[in-house]
Amino acid sequence: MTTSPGASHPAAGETALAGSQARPPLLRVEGLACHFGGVLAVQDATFDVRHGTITGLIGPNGAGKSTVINLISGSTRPGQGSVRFNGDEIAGQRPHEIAHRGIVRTFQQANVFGGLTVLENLLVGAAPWRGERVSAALGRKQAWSATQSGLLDQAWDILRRFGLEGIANDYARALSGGQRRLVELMRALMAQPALLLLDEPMAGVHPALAASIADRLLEMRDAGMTMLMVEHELRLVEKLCDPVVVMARGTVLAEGSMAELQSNQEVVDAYLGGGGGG
Amino acid sequence: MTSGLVYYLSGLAILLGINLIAIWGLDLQFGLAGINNFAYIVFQAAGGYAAALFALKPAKAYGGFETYLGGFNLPFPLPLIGAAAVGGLLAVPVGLIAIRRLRADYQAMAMLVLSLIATGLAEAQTGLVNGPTGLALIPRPLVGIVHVTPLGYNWIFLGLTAGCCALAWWVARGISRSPFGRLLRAVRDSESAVAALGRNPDALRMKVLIAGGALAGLSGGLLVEYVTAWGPSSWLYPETFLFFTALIVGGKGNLAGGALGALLVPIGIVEASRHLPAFGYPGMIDSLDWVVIGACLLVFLWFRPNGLLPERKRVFRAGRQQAGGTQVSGAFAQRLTGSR
Repeated sequence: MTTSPGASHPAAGETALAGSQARPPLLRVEGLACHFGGVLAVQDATFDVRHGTITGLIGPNGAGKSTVINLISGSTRPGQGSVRFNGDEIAGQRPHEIAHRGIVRTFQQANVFGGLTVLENLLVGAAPWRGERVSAALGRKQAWSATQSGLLDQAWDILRRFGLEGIANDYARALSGGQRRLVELMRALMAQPALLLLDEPMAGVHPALAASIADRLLEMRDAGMTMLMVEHELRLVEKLCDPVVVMARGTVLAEGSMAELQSNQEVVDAYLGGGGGG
Repeated sequence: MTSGLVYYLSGLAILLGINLIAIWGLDLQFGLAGINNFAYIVFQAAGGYAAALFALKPAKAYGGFETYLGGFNLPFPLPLIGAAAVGGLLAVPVGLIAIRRLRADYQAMAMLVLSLIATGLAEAQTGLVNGPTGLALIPRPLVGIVHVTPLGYNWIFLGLTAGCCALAWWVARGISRSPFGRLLRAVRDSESAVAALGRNPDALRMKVLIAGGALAGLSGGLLVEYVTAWGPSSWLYPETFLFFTALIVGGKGNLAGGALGALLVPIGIVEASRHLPAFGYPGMIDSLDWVVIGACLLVFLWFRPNGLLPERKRVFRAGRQQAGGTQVSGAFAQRLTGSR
């Protein structure tokens, strides 16, 4: 049984949002800057991501949205500025150290392990565990097989939730672009992240599948997961994200609900009226 | 069957075993983790030199016939254990230089350069391992303790090689079937995605470089103790590509594929050419060996890149049924995603 693509869960979302306002933000980005050679990709970017929200990050091409995701996740080192996660400074840390803290990301181009099956992709997504040590590999299989069985159950549950158990043992390299997006999302779910960074999760995805992914994201938000999502499709952003951060030319232009942003002339001029959106 | 033929075949079986250990070590690094270790022969060479130096008496004992560092006259099996340890330890500086910070293609170039430097160093520093002449008179294991015919000794050495093969198989199989092996295969496909999931790809590759290096070192130790001599001409950089060809022909990421490759390439091609009638200029058949090996590599890369016995798919059966949560109907999802 599916939920209608148009049906979100406003009550649960609003409750989560109201609760999150009382807590310090999960992620605080302050004065973040980064340049590639002489090109300033991001400058003085400042915004918060609150608990239990899907915060949208929108802007025209070249606005610096994906660079911000790369800076938060450690893929790119910031030139200056601060990224605080749960109050701890994480700017400049390496990607795996940041992921260890509970920040997991997806990529602009679906980044799956093509030589692994879908199920194996999900198993790699699980948080690091003892069975992955060399000593476990050279020891008795019984020492880690029980934990792996638990992870397999969890992976099968996620696959069933997405209706993809039929491709569990297919190589990820054999999947369509949309399926790869789903695998990446499911793999991120296996990690049970505190903050999920989504870099254009609907890019190149069939609209019907995009609606299905949107429903899954709302379910995840209602279950308490926090997300920061870069997205060009404004109807999806309006459905999913509150608040929304608008970037242009590497800096944060405005922040608020989509309704608020649509009445902001500066935003309309920079993006909404500029035809850069979806 | 004549005793000469039996002696030849037992020697061939020993060489097959030694190559098998080396190829399984490379399979861990290249087949599983995707490391283009074009310096692989250096790990085998280091193991060979280590075994030699641990087994030989000090150079003075041989009347200055050769010059080298050390000469510890250690009993069996310590030289072989030392060979594996040196091969593994060598992975640390090599990994720090070539694995960290460099992209896969530059890693390959760095490895090749390291291989050339190592050969140059061994040849230029005559006091290190007797320069370009190399080491000779390396004691064989258990000689002086067991008193048997040359053929009888071959059987003993074959047993030793088989034991080492079993050890190498246990290490390679354990790693490739484990969650650690799965992580290595993930690193092979996407380093950035592995890092984004909280694992350090450099550390993972370093671990497998050490494990593969130890197997290469062990194979080098066995080889040196069998042939009793070792010099730079035995481990020139093209030898690395002999192992790569064996792995690509047999099938990387598959222990059986590595075994088939070991049988077909270093034993099959090289040994078959020994039985060709001499023709052309002296050394022409040796040169043709490399032409045939190179052609094999290219043909397989073009037409069968996964080898004769490709990596096996790991299939998991469905577990318990889902306890709850929103389900999307399978048919609807297939329509959405275009899956079969």
